[in-house]
Amino acid sequence: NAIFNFPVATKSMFFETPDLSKVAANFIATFLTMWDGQRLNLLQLYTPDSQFSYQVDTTHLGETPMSSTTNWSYYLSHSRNLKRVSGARPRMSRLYIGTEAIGKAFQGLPKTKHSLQEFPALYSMETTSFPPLNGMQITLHGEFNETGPPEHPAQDHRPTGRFNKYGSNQARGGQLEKRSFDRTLIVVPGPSGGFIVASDLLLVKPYAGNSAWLEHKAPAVAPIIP
Amino acid sequence: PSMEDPTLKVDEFLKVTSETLDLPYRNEAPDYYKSTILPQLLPQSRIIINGQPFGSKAQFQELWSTLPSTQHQVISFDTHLLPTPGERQYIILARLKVRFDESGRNRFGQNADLQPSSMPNSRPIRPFYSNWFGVALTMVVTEKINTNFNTECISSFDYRITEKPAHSTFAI
Repeated sequence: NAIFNFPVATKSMFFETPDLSKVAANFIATFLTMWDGQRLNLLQLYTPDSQFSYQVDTTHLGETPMSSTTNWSYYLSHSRNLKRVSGARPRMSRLYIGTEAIGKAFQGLPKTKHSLQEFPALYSMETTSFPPLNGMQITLHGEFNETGPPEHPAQDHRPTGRFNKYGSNQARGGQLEKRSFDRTLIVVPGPSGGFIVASDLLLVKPYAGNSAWLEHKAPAVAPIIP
Repeated sequence: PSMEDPTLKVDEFLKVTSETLDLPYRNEAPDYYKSTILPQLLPQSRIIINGQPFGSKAQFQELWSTLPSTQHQVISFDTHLLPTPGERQYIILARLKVRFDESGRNRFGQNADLQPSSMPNSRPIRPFYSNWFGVALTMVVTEKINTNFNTECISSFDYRITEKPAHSTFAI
């Protein structure tokens, strides 16, 4: 019954149509491989109008034990959590539009390794069509390991004017960790049959594993509808 | 020149819509109560809860009304405004936390046997909330929200519980 059980049987992967399932799965697999490898090669998917931003939320939720040494310094200065960043200027400065800005943002994030191919159960995904742009909306949830510091750590935003070669505190952010994330992409057809990422929103949060979307084998119980 | 912030209304919109998921039942007609759950959904919107699609707004409202009481809090969000033809669309990625009443009643105050669990005229039993679960919410909403929150403007609502607490009676 719905009183002690969420009345919806969890499905780790949803695709609006069988065609979307093939296209989206291939797209994401390639995307993550490039993100983990030659990240700047991804810029061929972005145009002058493409938007990218990321938000960090450090709230620890879930059953995985909290690490006492968690460090977020590589992410915080450019995190666009709009619950915490106020004012038009800071909000708009953390939104990257166009390939040059997006490329810099990509290089300001740590190097990573995702394991979607090796361990797909660690990920969940929802893919629907996005009719206004004749494209698709892909939302991916999962985890990654940080494998190295950013190519070019983001500079601190403090207006002191002093340029610290090591980006002030960022260099001491050194410890590499496993994180969980959610990422939503609006992917639309490109001019020569390829894809364009019109919008890319990334949320990075403490590692929490995949137990929330593991599918249970027991049949779903019908909800009680008064 | 002052910089425009197109994200200004999204914070409040998220608060208002997540609050509709938590509205307590106050003895109104059940069908009316169900209609107050996320009324901003367009009738044929794409609604996905924990990877399961819902065919319509009404089906979603029906299902949500069977849940015990909930409390949601938006803890993080970001948004892009897409220059889609006609009305522009916001794509929003939010993180929420949610907890569920574990006192053994649904939001109509009925226990598992569909009986009211308190005697008539007695004081209502207080909810007993679980630990927090984490939710990833992706929404597509039209730019109408900049002028009016009480309008059908959500074309896509993808709600997935991504973190569950170590101990809770309520299970997903």
